[in-house]
Amino acid sequence: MDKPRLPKVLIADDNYASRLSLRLELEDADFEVVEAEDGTGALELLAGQPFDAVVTDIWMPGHDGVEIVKAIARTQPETVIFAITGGGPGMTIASASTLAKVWGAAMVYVKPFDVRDLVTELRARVRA
Amino acid sequence: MAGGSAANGGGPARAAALPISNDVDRLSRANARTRVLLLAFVVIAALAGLVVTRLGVDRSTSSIFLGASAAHYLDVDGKATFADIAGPLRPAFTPSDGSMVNRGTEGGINSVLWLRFKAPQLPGDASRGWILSYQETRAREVSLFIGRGASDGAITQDYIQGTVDPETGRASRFAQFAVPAAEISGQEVHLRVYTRSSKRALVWLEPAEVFAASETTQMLIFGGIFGVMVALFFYLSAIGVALRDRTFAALAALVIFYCSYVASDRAFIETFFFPGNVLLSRIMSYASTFLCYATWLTFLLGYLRVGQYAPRIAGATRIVTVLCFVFALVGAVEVALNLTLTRPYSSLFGIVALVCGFFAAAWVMRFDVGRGIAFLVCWSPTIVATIARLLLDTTPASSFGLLSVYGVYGAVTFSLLTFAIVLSIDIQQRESRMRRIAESNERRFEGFANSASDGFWETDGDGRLTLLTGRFAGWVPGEAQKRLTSILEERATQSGMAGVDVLRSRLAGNSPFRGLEIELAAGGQTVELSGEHHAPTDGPSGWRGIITDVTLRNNRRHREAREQRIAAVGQLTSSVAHEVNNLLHPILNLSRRLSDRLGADDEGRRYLQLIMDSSSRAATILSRILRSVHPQTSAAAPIALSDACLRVCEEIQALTAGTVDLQYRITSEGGPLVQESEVFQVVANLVSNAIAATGNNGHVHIMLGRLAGGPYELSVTDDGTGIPAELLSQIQDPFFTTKPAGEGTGLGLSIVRDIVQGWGAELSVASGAMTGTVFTISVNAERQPAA
Repeated sequence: MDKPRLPKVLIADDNYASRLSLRLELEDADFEVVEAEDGTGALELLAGQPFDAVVTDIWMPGHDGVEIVKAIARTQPETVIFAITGGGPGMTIASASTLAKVWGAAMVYVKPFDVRDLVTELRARVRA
Repeated sequence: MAGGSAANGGGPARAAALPISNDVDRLSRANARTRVLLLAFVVIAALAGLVVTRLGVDRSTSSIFLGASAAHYLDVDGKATFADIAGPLRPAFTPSDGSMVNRGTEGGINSVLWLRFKAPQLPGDASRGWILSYQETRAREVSLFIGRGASDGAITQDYIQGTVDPETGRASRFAQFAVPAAEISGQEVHLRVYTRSSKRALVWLEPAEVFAASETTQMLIFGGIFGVMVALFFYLSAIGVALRDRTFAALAALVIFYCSYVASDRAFIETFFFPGNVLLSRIMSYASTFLCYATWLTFLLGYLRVGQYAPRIAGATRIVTVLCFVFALVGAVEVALNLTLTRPYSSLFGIVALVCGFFAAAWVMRFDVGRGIAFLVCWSPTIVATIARLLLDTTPASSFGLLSVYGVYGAVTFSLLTFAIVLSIDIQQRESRMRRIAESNERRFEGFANSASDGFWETDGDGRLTLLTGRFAGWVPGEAQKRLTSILEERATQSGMAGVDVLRSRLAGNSPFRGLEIELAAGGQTVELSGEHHAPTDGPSGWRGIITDVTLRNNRRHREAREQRIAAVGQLTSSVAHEVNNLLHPILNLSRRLSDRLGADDEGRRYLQLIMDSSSRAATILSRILRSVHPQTSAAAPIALSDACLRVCEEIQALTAGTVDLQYRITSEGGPLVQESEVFQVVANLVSNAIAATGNNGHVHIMLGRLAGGPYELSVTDDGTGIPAELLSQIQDPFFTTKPAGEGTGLGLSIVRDIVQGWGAELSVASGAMTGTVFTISVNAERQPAA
């Protein structure tokens, strides 16, 4: 049975509930989802396999999301990157999203947001 | 060369003295006036001296000067006897040419001068006593022969220098022979003179009473000279010692050596002070001459400041001075032991010393005309008298008075006296100049002190205020002498009293203090005091310190602390908001998901809707809080705009490598101080927009420049699609904000605008559909941070 390959998405977020809400919605939309609970884990996963898209929190323990964005933009320029953030210490939401955009994130979402918007946008970019 | 280095050496001192140049100019004008007056005074005195000298030529009419009519013969061996001279083989005498013969020291030390003249027919009583005198004090032996020799019954008298008259207990200062008129009247007279000094025909014939009167006059003159000299010596020595001034000391020494010279040369030593002690007189006479030269040169070096203007000439003059001392010492020994080593060269060396001195004086005229002239003017009486004396010696004159011979002594005395006056005036001027400089400096520093924000205070040993400058000077109107602690006590607030107590205990314990703050009641001022005890060896002890108004500094510190607290709160808030947002996010999304599964009329769905509404409200509140706080992203110290731009551009260029061709150019240094993080946000946002506009393959230029004197202009230019006109007008609207961040409009301009406004700068934008967009930020070079 040759199932068509599902687009693969990496979710990097240190908050389990956040990850869960994203995963549920993405799986409903026929994405294969891999989770990482911190920046370091995300980078390890990224080094091991290709992803069609990455949804990463900007502020996380270990390596923060900005570094992940930078690393992907450098090594896997084809990968679509979405950044999500709840703001963070030493950084306003605005500046964090600015950074994410500058470093190559296609979209920046500020928590809390409607995950369905993200999924719609991602589907549009990955399926195209 | 010497002049050049002296001029250079004088340079810095002049520069340092510049601020008080007005005073100095005024003083030098006063100096010039004084010198002109002095010049006039000396010229008048010199003219008076000349008149007296001329008058002195016409001595008493009954005195007969025989020197002008005397024929002479110089016996080089000194072996000729009167018989040889007056006998049949008599040698040829040189006849008189109408002036006094003067053969100087010609003929060597053994030579003898023979004088021959015919005594006139004396008027009056034949038994009247006359005195024939040879008025040369240095003559060692003089013999008188009246008539034609022993065979003709010649009358012979001998004089030997320093012979003490047993009756009076004194010696004669020069050769004098008592002759009755009958004996000498109309006779041929021979004088045999043995002297090592000048061989001159200083011969007078006078009635005994006239001679006595002339002697008295001479005594009076020299008595006066000695009196003045000794007084001058004590005066100059006293000042020289009191002021430790070498110039005064040198002049005092010159006066006393000159005195000694006159006393010995005019034969007062062997006749009055130490009768018969010719050797002492000779030693003193010889040594004094060179000691005079030496002290004169020392005085000249000091008075004319030769060392300051011409170090080399001063060096040479010092060598000559030392040689003068050597000549004095060696010469004294030579005279004492009757040797002849240096003595033949003494006259020559004397001339060298004089020439050296006057040359140095003339040289100094190039730098300090006033002093040089004053010097020559003071010596002018001496110079004039010396010239007059030389003229008298060489001009034919049938007779001349002794006063003209002694005029030189008077003139030198007068010169020395004038110098003493000049030096005294000099000292007074120096003192008044010093006082003016000190007063001027005091005014200057008082001016500085009063214009400073810090005040200086000083108290006596009891803590009573004796000085308070600066803005606090008004605290002590008129009556000082109030304790510093009481003055502060009157003004301190309740909490400030603690500081006053500390101050009191420090003063009592003689321990220094620093940074002692005292709050004052008036105007919410706070002052800070520092001070320490000082106990000088030459004055009363007390306290000295600084008082500073630290109100502004403290206010600034408080404000900074408050700002830091606010920043910390902001940071905490944003951190909390992040966490809460992270929590709200799954609540909202999972609730919605769950709600979707439930039927439209399920009660659970209504509850979930309530949960979602509450969560949304919480998110809205959080975002409002985040908008109202502006957490400082960095506590780093602000840096110059150009430095911040350079670092930010480097960073962004590295980050955007591969996505866009980004170039930057910074053409101006410096600029207002800004937070690097703020510059980063501004530039990053603008670049982010630019990248979006160019569709990830255009060109972006960042530039920082400044037109001369104008504001700094930071611009970000892209060659992208440009901004539609309708949106452009919205951007220009100061209330323009992007749609809520996070919805991905990409325009972070609200952040940019906030920061730029915080700089007190202006943001402008120019855009064309085909030409791309330019964002420009104009920052004033001296920006005032928005309050």
